[in-house]
Amino acid sequence: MRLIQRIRRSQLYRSVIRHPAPRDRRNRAAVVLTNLVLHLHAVAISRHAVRIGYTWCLGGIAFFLMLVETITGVLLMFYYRPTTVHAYRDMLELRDVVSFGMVREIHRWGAHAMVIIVMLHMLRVFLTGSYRPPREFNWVVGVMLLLLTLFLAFTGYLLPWDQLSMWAVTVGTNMAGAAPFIGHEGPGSAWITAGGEPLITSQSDVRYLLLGASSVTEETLNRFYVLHCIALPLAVFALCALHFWRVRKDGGISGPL
Amino acid sequence: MIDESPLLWPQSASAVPAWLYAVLAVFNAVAALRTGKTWRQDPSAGRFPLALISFGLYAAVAAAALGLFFFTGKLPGLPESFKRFVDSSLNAATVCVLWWGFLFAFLLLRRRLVSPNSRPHVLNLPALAFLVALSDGQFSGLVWQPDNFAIVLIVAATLFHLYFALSSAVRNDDRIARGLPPLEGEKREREKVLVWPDLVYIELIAMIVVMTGLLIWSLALPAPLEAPADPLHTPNPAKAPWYFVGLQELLVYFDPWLAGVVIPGILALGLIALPYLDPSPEGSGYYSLASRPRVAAAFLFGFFGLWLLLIVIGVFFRGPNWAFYGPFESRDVPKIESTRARPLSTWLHAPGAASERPSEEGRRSGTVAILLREWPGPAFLLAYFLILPHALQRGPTRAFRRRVGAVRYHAAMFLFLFMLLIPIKMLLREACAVNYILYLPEWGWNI
Ligand code: HEM
Repeated sequence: MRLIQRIRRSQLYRSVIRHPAPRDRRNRAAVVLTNLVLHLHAVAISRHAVRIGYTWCLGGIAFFLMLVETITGVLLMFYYRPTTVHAYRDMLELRDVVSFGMVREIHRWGAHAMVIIVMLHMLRVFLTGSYRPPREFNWVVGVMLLLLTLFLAFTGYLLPWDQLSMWAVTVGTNMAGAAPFIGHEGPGSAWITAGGEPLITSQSDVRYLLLGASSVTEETLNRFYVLHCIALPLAVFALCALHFWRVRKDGGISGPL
Repeated sequence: MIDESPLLWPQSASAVPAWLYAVLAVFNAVAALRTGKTWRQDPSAGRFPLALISFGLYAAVAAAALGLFFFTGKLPGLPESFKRFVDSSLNAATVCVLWWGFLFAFLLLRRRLVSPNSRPHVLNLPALAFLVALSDGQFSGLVWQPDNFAIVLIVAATLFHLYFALSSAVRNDDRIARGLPPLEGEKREREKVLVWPDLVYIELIAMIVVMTGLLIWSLALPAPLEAPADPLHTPNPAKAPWYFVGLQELLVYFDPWLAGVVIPGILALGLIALPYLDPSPEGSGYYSLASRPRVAAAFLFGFFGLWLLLIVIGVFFRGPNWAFYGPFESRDVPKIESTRARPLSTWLHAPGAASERPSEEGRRSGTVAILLREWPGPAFLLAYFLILPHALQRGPTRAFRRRVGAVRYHAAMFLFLFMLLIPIKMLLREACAVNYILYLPEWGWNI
């Protein structure tokens, strides 16, 4: 503690951090109120809500992982080109040539961790009964976030363009081709015709919409790349903003009535 | 196939279980010390705590395993005969039944399991079993396959979280039974604390812990990269990413339009609808099972008993041709599973149901003939989705029906029964070799 105080009193420290550490309620409240990031929080919350054994920090960790994914994702985008010629080679270079060749690992395992943590967060929200009124809409937002997280992970899975990714995405998207009525292999699609010609074919069904082609090709790579790097992250951040705002508006972290 | 990792892998593969034994030894030693300390500080405490002895014993066991590794280079393993017994007695049905039995035993015996005396065993026995199984090359190869490790992690994390959530739930349910508020509702707990520093520092520590874990994970396991994509060469088996493998596993039991689209779609809708179907604001904001036993059982069954189970089967037990393989069984020997499954109508010897394939004849003979042949399917579905909820509301679900009204009741029952259709069809297939309840190959709407 002495050491910390000496650091605090040093010229260097005081030149960077102008205020002394806040010790009274008023100044501690001011830290949260006057800081752009911390202002996401209320100034004071009930004691049970900061207990680790209540939320297990899971929502916060999910968001933290989203930030980690964003930063490592930007780093990966510096080296990656979503074309069939380059994608796989860029993966090799990321592994063998780029310094600190671990960004791909952090990004990939971070994505898996995020899926796991979001699922566990849902479990904790359920087990504390926090989905019940007045938080029912925030639960709905949460389910959307879960689906977006899964879809984000899925679109990213294709980008290395190796056997694993290509066939995993083939298996996954083939299911869309079996959708009733709107998938060309789905039941009922043969009933949708125009002038005797079938309307739903492998060139016009939802799977085609998803892939941009009738099988996993470069069009798919491009489509998934754009979804993965732009559209879905934007949607996740927008919904996170709504989610956090609703946590505050619904009365903060849930507690007994 | 798996390239060398940046730092630790795979030169030291056999050392990883040793590391885990070390972690286990330290964990148990610390737990024993802490148990002893709280016991000595609490003047009202009774006899010497049994938990201390148990933690101590487990610490000694883990340390002994570590010592064995140190001196002989070997870790405790399983006898071959036991592995062969496990491999030959497991199949998709036994895995399901064991998993579901485990879940319900976990829920029913929760009071016993969370008591201080059982805590050491609950925390240690699964870990030890896992570590001993890791000594098998086939099993550890499966576990350390980089993309598979996430599933080990999610199962372990879910069990861990569930265990502590159940501890809190038992504690609160006991308090409520004694007329006290749940712990989260105590006066002291309802007081406000300042976010800075009380919460902000917890967040900081959580971030550091998560980032450290993620870095260790990334150092230890390289991100997989296989041969370049080749549309002409299909790997066997081609597996979806792990979070969708559950749906792929459903393909064994359902046609793709159900397994890939309708079932996940309706279950997602059910998840969204949950707070509107179970809307009473009471019982929210604290861990509890007694205040919501039925909905909790249904949710946990869906989450752990279906979602996670199907992922685990699909990832760990399915090999080439999507055949079932035991945990210690080599995947190099291709298996073809015999499919003698047949539709319900054939199984019941309904007249005209003998035809296995959609026949031109059937198509020509028209709708009426098909429906006559397939009468068991619609009869089952009608009874299941319409008559059953009506019958139940006279008995077991009466109170629920009263509380939420007709619309919510029927929506909730539909979603619940729809979810139960999954285990029903799994068991029908495994136990009776029935693959379709409703078989309409002429139109494709097989259920
Ligand atoms: C990217 C995904 C998600 C992020 C970043 C996120 C973030 C958060 C955060 C930071 C909180 C504050 C309390 C806490 O940490 O537990 C929270 C609360 C909440 N979340 Fe999420 N969440 C996500 C997904 C979900 C999902 C999948 C669900 C449910 C299906 C959900 C439902 C809720 C509800 C109902 C609350 C209020 C809980 C309470 O008041 O106790 N969220 N979320």
